[in-house]
Amino acid sequence: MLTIKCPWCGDRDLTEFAAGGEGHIARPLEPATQSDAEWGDYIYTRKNTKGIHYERWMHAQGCRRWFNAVRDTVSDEFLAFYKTGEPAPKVEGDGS
Amino acid sequence: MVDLTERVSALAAIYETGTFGATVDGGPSVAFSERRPLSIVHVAGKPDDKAFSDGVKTACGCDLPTTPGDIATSGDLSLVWLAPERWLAVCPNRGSGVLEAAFRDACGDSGAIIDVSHGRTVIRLSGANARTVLMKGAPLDFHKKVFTPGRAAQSAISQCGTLITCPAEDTFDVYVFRAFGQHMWEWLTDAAGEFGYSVETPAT
Repeated sequence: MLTIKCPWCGDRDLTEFAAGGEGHIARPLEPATQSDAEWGDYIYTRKNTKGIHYERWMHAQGCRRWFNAVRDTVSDEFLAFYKTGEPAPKVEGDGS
Repeated sequence: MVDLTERVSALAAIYETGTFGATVDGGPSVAFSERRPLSIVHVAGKPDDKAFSDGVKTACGCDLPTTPGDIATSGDLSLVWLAPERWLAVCPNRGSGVLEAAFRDACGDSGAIIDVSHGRTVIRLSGANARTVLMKGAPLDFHKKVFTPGRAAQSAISQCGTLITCPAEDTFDVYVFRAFGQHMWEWLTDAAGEFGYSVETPAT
């Protein structure tokens, strides 16, 4: 069973969390000026990373806060956890 | 005519005092009771906003706990940390809307105060095996040195969101939404069956 470290509540079981997909995707500031292709890209296009992945999680059955995590999608190992708004930490092996 | 203002426990239909479960040497090692009637108020606001933090202190007599999972107490009132900027104030029933009004008067517009007294069922477990019963249900670290008196955590038991607090040694309160109260009671008492358990009269 995976353990995830909520930045507020500390180490908790995976079952308390909801995965939120890829992180650090900024919503366009002026959606009305976006072309269909650009908006579709914002909504749907994701990296599908093999390796180091920066992603969002929510402590759904705890404090219900969103936060960010760095996970290796090959080994499923979590490498870092950080609060929303904090810069992404550099992780060894990150090719991006 | 049904009096709709009278508070009726969500457990009223199934609550039965006595001794149940396995017969073990030394008698039952888990005691259940419903905590009622309580006043419960959900408090939200910015802890670094002085108007809010001072207001909370005026309303309930203790400082906001800002360490995750901590409980502050003042007399018979507990102020439980739920999440960043979210707390739950719990005390024996002070009358309809009284505790909520105390917070609203003291905090003004600096906080969001909601009376949830009618919306929660609170089940108290105590005894030598109370911790073991909870360990069957919630994926939390229940080690005696970790989940100590004065600590609280939100988690899930049987997929129901719960708040679990430890007010005293080997004593735990399980808070669930009222609609889940009966299910949680049945789940917990079933889990305690192997140890033998008693059901005491409800108290605050």
